[in-house]
Amino acid sequence: MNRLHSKKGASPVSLIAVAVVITLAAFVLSLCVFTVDEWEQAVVTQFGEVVDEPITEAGLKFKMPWQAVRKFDRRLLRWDGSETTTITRDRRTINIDVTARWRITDARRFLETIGSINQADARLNGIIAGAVKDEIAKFELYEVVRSSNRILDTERTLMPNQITDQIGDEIAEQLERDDLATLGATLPRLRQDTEGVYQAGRPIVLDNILREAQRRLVQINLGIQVEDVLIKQLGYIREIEANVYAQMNAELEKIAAGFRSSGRQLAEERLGEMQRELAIIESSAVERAQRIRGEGEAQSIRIYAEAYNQDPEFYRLIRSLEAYEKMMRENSTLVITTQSPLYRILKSLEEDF
Amino acid sequence: MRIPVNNQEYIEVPILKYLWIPVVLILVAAASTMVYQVNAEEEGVRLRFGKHIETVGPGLHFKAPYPIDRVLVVPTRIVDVLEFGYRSDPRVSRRVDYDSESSMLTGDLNIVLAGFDVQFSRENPTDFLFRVENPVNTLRDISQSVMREIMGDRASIPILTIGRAEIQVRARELIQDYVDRFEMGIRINEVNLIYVNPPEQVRAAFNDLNKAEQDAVRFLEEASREYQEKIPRARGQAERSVLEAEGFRERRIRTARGDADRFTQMLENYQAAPEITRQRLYFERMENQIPRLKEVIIVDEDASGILPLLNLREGGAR
Repeated sequence: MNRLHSKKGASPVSLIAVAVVITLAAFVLSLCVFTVDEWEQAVVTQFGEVVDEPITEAGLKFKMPWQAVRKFDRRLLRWDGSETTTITRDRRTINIDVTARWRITDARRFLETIGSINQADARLNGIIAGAVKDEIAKFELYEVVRSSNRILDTERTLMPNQITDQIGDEIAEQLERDDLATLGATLPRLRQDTEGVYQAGRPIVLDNILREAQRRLVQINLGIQVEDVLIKQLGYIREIEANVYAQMNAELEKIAAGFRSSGRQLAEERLGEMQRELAIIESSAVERAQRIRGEGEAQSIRIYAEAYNQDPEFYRLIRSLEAYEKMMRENSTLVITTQSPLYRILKSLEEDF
Repeated sequence: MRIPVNNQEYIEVPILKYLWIPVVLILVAAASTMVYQVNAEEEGVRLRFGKHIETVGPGLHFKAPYPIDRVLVVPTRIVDVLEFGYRSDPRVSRRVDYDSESSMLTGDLNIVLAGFDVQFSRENPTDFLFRVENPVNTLRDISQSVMREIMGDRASIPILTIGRAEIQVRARELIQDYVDRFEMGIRINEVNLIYVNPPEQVRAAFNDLNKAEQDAVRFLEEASREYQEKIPRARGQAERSVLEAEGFRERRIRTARGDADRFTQMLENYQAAPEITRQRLYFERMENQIPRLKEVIIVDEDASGILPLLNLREGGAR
């Protein structure tokens, strides 16, 4: 036992001492350095109080061993609200689901006032939801839904497939084009100033919500800023939805009936056109044919008259003989008087015998 | 090193002899974190103490050992798909629609259901990692918002019929604009409208609208066909009746001329011997005709009685 001990002497003890010193030094050093990632920012605190400006640059950083570090995200953060029911200026109840981008702009202030992302989310809930309610209430529903007046200018030239392809203008003119494209909805114009800049519409509403939220945040100064607001979902509440469907159905039926009746109307017109055409064709044919026949008759009358007028007596003779011939058909009975020349012929024949 | 067992007794452990073991282990562990691999579809972002120092492509690379250097790998060449209003299930190749997600208000304040996908790639790995927290979720938010904005600016019937291609192009542009504004490092490759439908509650009426269009076209086509059939036929008939009339005229004139010529010729000869010709014509005619008669009854103009003179058919034969 003593042999081993004596051989190496004090060296194990000194080695252990060195190890302890190194470990201690490493520990103290670890208290003095920290890293900041690219997406982070850090705040150094001393006994609960913030010292220095927040560190927003990534890399290896140093501090006093008794100082603490709080790191926060430097990136654009996502706030996701829940669906809320709100009312527009034209008293329409809608469900709206809004989401926002925000970031920690002043980490020191953030740490002093809120301290955590979860807390910030909770604060934003109240602020953004409030801004949404306030701003939506200033606009009519169409001003929240639409972004421009393009629907008024361009949609009326867009027609469903069949119609444009096949009969185009004919049926299109029969129907109100706006009615068709928009299911009969009346489309108000979004307000514009003299230079054509919109005074209402979805981008304006979103911008107003954003600015209102920013204004409120500046007031309470939490070290955070909202950078963008998006509408994820916007719809009618269930009770109104049923009415909208009923209205859509009624309008679709009306348009369908309109299609059919204007189709029929055009068909009838085409048939009427046909009848008129037929009448003209037929009667002008009759007109021409009769005139031609008349010519024939006239000429034949003239020819006969000229010929027979040479000797009417002879004509009468020939005609009466022809008439006799026609009258005396086979197996008929001839009744003649004793005055008849025929009788005389017969009688003279008798006398001859 | 002496480890006490009990009173005054120690076990002597030759600790220095084995001190190299943990040292070597630590060195091996450190060395193993000095090599890393980036796959073909990925890019690696190397951080030194959290600070970005380089971005590397696929292959085997070296770095300083942990915890000095760290590498984050982003699959930049993979195209991912986000689905909205439906979820495709590759196991059953069936589409499940979510009306709550696809229901959108149109510019005329009607409702359509639209499902779409957004295909994107992580183009810039550093922006993707450093600019926005959870960029994919943010992309979801942007896509939903953009599609609603587009639908909200258009009329329902064009959306449901002819507007698709234009909407897809516009959606891609707008989503890319947002993504660029937020510096998300994402590239939008494509936006596809998977379906655009009227809501279930109005689908029947909408389908009937399509049928009504076809009906309208059919009505007009049928009338046109009748027109096409009847008008040429009537024209033909008209032409025919005119031609027939011309035939009539020609026949009438020629017959008259023939009759007139015949008469004139007869007349010329008749005038040479009027009396005898008259009688001859009379007799000839009677001669020809009387045998064809059944009977001739002669009535005395003074006496009132009928005396049958001759019965050519029955009497004569008997």
